[in-house]
Amino acid sequence: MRYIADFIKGILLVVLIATSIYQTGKLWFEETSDRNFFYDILARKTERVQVISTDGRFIKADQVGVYVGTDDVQYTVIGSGATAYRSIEDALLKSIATILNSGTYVGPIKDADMDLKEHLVLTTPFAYEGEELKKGLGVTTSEMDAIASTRAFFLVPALKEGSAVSLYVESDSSDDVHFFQINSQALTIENEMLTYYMQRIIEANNNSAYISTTDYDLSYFDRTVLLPVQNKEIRYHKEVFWRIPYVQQGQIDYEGVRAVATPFYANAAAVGQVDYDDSVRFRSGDITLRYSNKGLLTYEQVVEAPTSATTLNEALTVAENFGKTTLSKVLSEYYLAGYTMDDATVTLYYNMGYNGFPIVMDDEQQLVPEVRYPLEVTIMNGMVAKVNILLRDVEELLPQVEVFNTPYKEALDWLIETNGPLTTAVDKMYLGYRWHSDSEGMKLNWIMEVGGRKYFMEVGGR
Amino acid sequence: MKRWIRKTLMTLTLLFVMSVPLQASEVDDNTEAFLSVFELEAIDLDFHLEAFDPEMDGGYHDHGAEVDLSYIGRLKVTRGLDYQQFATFTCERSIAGNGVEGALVGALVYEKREKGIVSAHISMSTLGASGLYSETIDFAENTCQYLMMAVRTGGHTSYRVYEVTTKEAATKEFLENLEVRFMNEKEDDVVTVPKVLLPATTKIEF
Repeated sequence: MRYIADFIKGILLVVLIATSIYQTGKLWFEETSDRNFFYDILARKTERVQVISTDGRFIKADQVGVYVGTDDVQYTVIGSGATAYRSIEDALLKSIATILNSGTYVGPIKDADMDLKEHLVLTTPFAYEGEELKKGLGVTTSEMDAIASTRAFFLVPALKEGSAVSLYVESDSSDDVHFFQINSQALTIENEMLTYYMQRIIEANNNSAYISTTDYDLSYFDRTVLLPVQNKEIRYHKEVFWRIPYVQQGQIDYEGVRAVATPFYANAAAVGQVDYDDSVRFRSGDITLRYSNKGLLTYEQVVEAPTSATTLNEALTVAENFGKTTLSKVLSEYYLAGYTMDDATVTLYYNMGYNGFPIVMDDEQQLVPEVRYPLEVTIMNGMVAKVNILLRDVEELLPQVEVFNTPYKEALDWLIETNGPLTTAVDKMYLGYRWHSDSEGMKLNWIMEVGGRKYFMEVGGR
Repeated sequence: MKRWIRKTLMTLTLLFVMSVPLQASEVDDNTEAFLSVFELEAIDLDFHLEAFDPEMDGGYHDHGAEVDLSYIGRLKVTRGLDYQQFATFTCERSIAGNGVEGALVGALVYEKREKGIVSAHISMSTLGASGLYSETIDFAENTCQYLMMAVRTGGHTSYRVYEVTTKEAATKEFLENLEVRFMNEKEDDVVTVPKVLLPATTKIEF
């Protein structure tokens, strides 16, 4: 008996010695340390992100506007940094999803027939195709087949209990507007919240003034875009300067740069670091992170070979989760700008933002080859497979209140004068900072996207 | 004596009647400058709402005729001037339209006073490559003013006169706060937001 116990003890001892030699050897010879064996088992269980069905959350808003309706101010656009923005966006998306799911489809109408009293408008950064829209909202009714694709939703909340909430969905492919209605009792909470915020925003009577391209019948647009109106006070910086964090004169601060990796790993202490001349590599488990002296942070995660195609909805949901848990610790403002898709992956492109304005990269002056957007997220098999981030630190300056005095027509005049008559409609037009080189200050520009190209015209401050 | 009084009265009346058209044709310097830029002779005070388009049959057409109100010459007004005679609560009005490159578009706001025409707001702009026109025009509060929109292209001027009555903002407030209740409605029909739903200090910033 005693012999058996001694034998077991002996075996255990041998196993322990062997594993300790192996572990030490691994640390010695391998480039990086791995996470603890037990961490791996515990962590793997939660590593896979479950795609949870969300109520219309997959739709991302580009602009959320409240109709003010005075003669010179048509809309107020709520900045994504505003306190109430999240609540309004959420309530709007939930309402849209509910109406499309269980409301009544009245039919297609002409946009002149829209009965728009006090309302909210939500535009999206790109067109949502019918099938994606249906899947994303979990809609099964065939009535939604009529909406081939859309980029703008108009919601008219019910001001009285029991009356109807109306939703108009602008068609991207025809002049039609699809009209849906639902009794406000189906949307009590959202309707009351939206009504409340809408009234508060109208009363606040602030200076953010926008017009609707459809309402002004601007021939250069074929859909609703909210354009800022000149001669109103807006808060923007004349010039914004950036620097690359943890890099000085091309030299990486190898000690400090470890902070960059922290948000991306569950256990930052177990992350191995390898220093190269122009970059740093971190590794732990399936996640590898590289940071170059150009400020480009690349995150890569080993993802199993895809078993099914990734849908746009799935990608947006995964990216949204990743954004909440991880990206928010690295970036404060970023806006969805577009996506590309192949059989297995979806890549989402984002612009960074500063004080409510997007920072847009000039296509012709790429800072890092192959990187066209400061944030690119690739989703595969329901997981984040790759992320590219151009990290920059803003040199904080006090914002000045400037009167923005470059009307949209001046920007369009300039566009046509310099590039000839337009052959296609203007896809997007907005104000943003132009990011062309880190050493130069970024200035506020009118940015016009036409036929896949971006055009920049500097805004003249007073 | 009686005859003398009658004679004097008649002469005075005659003088008064004769003096009215003389005074009415007077325009102030700004208006005159505006008219000369567009090579227009004068504003006819008898016409309340008039329009002139050299490309139209005979040029003149009055407001009774069937015309597309949205066009002033080659400028298509897409916003701000849906009617030729209208009342508004706001003194600022944005006017937008699509025209052709190089067209000169002018807006003249004037009042008809006893002594003639007094201009209140003048703006002129040449349309750029996009041909877009957009202008915010100020009207005085609580008055009846006229707006002449003139468009000059290829040596021809077209114009249209609008009558704009601005109402006091107080009237708007009164009308907005007026509670209209129908017979079968109860007082508690008005939507109220439950307090629990909203944070006590909701601050809305932009």
